[in-house]
Amino acid sequence: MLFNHGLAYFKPWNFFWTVQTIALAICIIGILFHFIFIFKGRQRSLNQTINPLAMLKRFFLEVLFQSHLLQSDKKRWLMHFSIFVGFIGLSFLSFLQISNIVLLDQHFNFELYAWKGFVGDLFGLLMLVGLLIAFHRRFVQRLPHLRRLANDKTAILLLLSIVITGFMLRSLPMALAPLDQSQKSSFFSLILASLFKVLIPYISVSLSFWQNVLAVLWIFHSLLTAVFLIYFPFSKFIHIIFTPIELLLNASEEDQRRDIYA
Amino acid sequence: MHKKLQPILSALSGRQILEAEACTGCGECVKLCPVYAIEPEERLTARGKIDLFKNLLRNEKPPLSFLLGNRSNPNFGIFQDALWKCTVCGQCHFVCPARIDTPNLWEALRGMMGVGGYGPPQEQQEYLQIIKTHDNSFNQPQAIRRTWLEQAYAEGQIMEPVRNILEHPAPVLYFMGCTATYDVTIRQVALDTINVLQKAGIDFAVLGENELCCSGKMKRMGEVQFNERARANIEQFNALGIKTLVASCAGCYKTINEDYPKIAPLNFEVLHVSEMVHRLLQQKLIAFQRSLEVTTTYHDPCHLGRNCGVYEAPREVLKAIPGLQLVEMERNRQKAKCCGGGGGLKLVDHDLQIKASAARLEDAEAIGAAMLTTPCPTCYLSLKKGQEFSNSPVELQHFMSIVRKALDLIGPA
Ligand code: SF4
Ligand code: SF4
Repeated sequence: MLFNHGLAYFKPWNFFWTVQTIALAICIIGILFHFIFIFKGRQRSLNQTINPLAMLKRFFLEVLFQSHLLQSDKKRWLMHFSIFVGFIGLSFLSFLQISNIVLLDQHFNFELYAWKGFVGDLFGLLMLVGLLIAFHRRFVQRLPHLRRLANDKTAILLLLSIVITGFMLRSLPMALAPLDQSQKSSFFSLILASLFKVLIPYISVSLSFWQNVLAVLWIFHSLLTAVFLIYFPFSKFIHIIFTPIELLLNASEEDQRRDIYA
Repeated sequence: MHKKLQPILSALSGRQILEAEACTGCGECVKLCPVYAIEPEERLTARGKIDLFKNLLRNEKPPLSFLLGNRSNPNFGIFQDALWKCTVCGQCHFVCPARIDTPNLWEALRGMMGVGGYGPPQEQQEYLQIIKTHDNSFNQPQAIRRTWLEQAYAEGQIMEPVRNILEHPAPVLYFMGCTATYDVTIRQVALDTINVLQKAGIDFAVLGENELCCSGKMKRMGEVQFNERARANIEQFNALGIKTLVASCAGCYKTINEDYPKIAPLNFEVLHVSEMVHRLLQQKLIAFQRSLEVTTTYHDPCHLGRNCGVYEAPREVLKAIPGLQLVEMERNRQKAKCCGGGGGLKLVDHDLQIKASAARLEDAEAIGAAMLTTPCPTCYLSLKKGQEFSNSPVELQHFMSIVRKALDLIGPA
């Protein structure tokens, strides 16, 4: 069952599925190549035994909560933690939604939609906060230890564009049509929608113009997510996979290798 | 596969490749790198080195190079230079949020570049060759390790003759190290240590001409023969039946205490001389006699502090000296600035090392310390160069000289 998400507009789902499938395939192949390459290392690693307890502790403390960052720099922690939780949360929601559509051939029911509206906004907002801090550090403060590489800038700008267009796609239709009960939980999109409501009367264009804008924005947003997927394995984003693995392996190895953290 | 990278990759473990992949590029390592502080070039930082390495790897991944184009232009020369222009001080490891074990990665990468014929630099190769041929890093006969002690006793520089452990087994082995043995400007450290041990009545002996270089420098410079030489030393030490090995140099201490056990187990404890003095004080086997009215700051050697976690023992000793006021530099303990003397940097870029040492003396001056002390002969010699370079008014004293004076033992005033 579909709910009223606000103003209806054209969504080329076939285009979406084609682009996303290709992008996802490239992403998976790219990640696989990283792993294949890692296994090309011929030497035996010095540390062979696994300490599951230490790894579990490290997973909660440092991978999820990132306590090491909290200890050294609170603002940096807020930035990193927000982006990380927001990213994982949104990825999980997308996965849930896609598997729901693909496997069960249904969209969310009312309760699930309302729930998704809330957590979707929450994760999106977290990401937005984190990315804005990152943007400020890199483009406004221009902290000297941050690189001026295109790769680093692209990563922030790409994510920021995805989040901003995502929020626009949620809030603009809300501003242009009567609200559905299920949308009441989308707390942040509602705030944005009320801002748009104030602005829209000043732009004297027809409703069909807005529908076209939304359709273009929708295509643009899906293209951005596809670009993200393709870019992921070939950019600094790959650390999202390898840094947690590194932290977990270190948890097991630090005692054995008499590390400075041991 | 790129011809040049083939031997390197086969010499790496998957774990080491993964370490490079885990770098987030956050730049925390840039903030405190002692080399970058003097030569602010990205390639010299941990992040820069990892990036260069990843670029070399990326060129080996056909789908990646196909998709991204050959934009990374593998440059072994730049990578080689960056890899060896590093003190392996471990500061980047300490601040890295991914906890990448950078010092071991640098050492492994140096070794791997060596396998491929891209290192070490000429100066280091010559230095390593000296260790391989002479079993010491000073290009001197091994016999001097025995004769200089005999001469020191004859000249009244030590209280009693020092026994050879192979002839007179003892529970404590004093491992003097090449620097404190052969470098006449720092030999006093060994004499002071011997006098302290004799004063405390410790039953100790030395290996004399049978003492072989710990080969720590080989490890830092990525010489793959390190394991073989370390194994020979381990076998010799383990066969002595000692309880404790005392090392003068922070580098020897780190090598024996941290690196050797990864090769084979040790059947004795390893102490740095500063830990030994601390223990003797605690056991009341020695007590400071003289007051030293001086404001002193303490420089943590990277190999002793950050790498082995020995921060408090030397500080406790200094605090126990009557009259001595211990003050801390802004960067101390885990964040202590490196003097630039490690990792073979001295051989590759002497000026850079001297500037790093001068910067450390400036730190001491900034907090109003009249004296700077360190318990490592190698750090001491590096700092001395920095002092001469910068004309720093801060007096430099080796930790053992201060201990000797406070104990009122024989030696220079
Ligand atoms: S080991 Fe020290 S000198 Fe080398 S990159 Fe790290 S911080 Fe810089
Ligand atoms: S601190 Fe660690 S993760 Fe950050 S850039 Fe340096 S090496 Fe990479």
